[in-house]
Amino acid sequence: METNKPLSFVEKMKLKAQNQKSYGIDSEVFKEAKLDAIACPNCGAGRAKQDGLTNCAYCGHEFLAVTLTNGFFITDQDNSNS
Amino acid sequence: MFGIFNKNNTNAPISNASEWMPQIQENQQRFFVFLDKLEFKIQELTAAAVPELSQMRNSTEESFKMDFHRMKSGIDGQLENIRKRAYEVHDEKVLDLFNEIKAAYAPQGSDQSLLNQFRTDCRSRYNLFEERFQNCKAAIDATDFEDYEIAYQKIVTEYATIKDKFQCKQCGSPIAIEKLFFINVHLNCDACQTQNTFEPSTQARMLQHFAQDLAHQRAADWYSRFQKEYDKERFYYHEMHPLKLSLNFEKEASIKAATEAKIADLEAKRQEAIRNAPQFKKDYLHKKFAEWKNITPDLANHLEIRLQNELNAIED
Repeated sequence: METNKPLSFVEKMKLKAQNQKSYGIDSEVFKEAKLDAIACPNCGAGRAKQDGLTNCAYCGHEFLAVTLTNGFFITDQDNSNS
Repeated sequence: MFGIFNKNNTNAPISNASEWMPQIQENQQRFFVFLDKLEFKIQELTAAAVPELSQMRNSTEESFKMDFHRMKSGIDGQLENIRKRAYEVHDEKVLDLFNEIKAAYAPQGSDQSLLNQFRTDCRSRYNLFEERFQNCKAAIDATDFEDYEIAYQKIVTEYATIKDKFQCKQCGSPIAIEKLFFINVHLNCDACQTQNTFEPSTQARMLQHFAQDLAHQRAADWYSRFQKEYDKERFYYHEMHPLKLSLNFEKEASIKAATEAKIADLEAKRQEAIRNAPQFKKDYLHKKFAEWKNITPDLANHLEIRLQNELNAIED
């Protein structure tokens, strides 16, 4: 037979702390790693390394409105020529 | 004739202790029993809360441990309430009564000593309560410790599982994740040259935030070596101080010479600590930044600049 032992004061506090909603943060914030690629919304072409990241090499569509500068993984070499 | 040899001193204060003595005895006794009960409560609360808090701190999967912090705030609040009650009762039942009796009866001589003794005894008991409270508080605070090595190992394990599982979104060729990234990066497909964007998991992104703490934990021995050396300066200073004071009224030459020799010895040790501490701090920083660079190799150049800045800020 199951006994309904009343919760202690600390156990009640723990339960309350665990059940309280965290505002500004939920389970959707924690994401898995993923890989994605952007195709040009104008002509459907992919972005190739040698053509740069800022503009589509085929139709000139502007992917990024900034001029890339040297960072850890992106360098100024990644700006498109077109 | 002038009453010089009269042993009965008519100016001796009249004792009125019998009027207020029962009250202070009762208050003191009740205050002690009250503090005993409060101490029992805080110790019971601490004993129950510490294992729960430790378990929540280490087992919860949620990255920011918000449930732990909510629980800890609740426990801290309960402890502070108890502490506040002790403070208020001490104020009301001890200090107020002390002042009332002092104002109403103006006790003198032995009566005054009795009254002062009441205040001192209660204060000592209150201080003991405060000391025990601080021990409980320290035990609760100690649960807020994270071993970042565990979090790092989780990230490394995750990296091992995902590094070969991605394919180019354009042509489907495999793209290897060549190292542990903690921000978004563009990865080039070797087959079709398409730039794919790799987005690390939230867990991996946290690496840049706790890398410094992890490096500090790995260099903790170096830090404690520095801290001990740093604390020695004050320690020897406080050892020397009473010796220096004792010299003021010392007339015995041999004792004076022995004390001076002891002071010189302590001063030499103090100077040695002053010389060593900056070097020990530098050793700690070198170790910490070396570990930090191992954890986040991409930030090596930036970290080297930070290390040099911190080294330059140390005064030799």
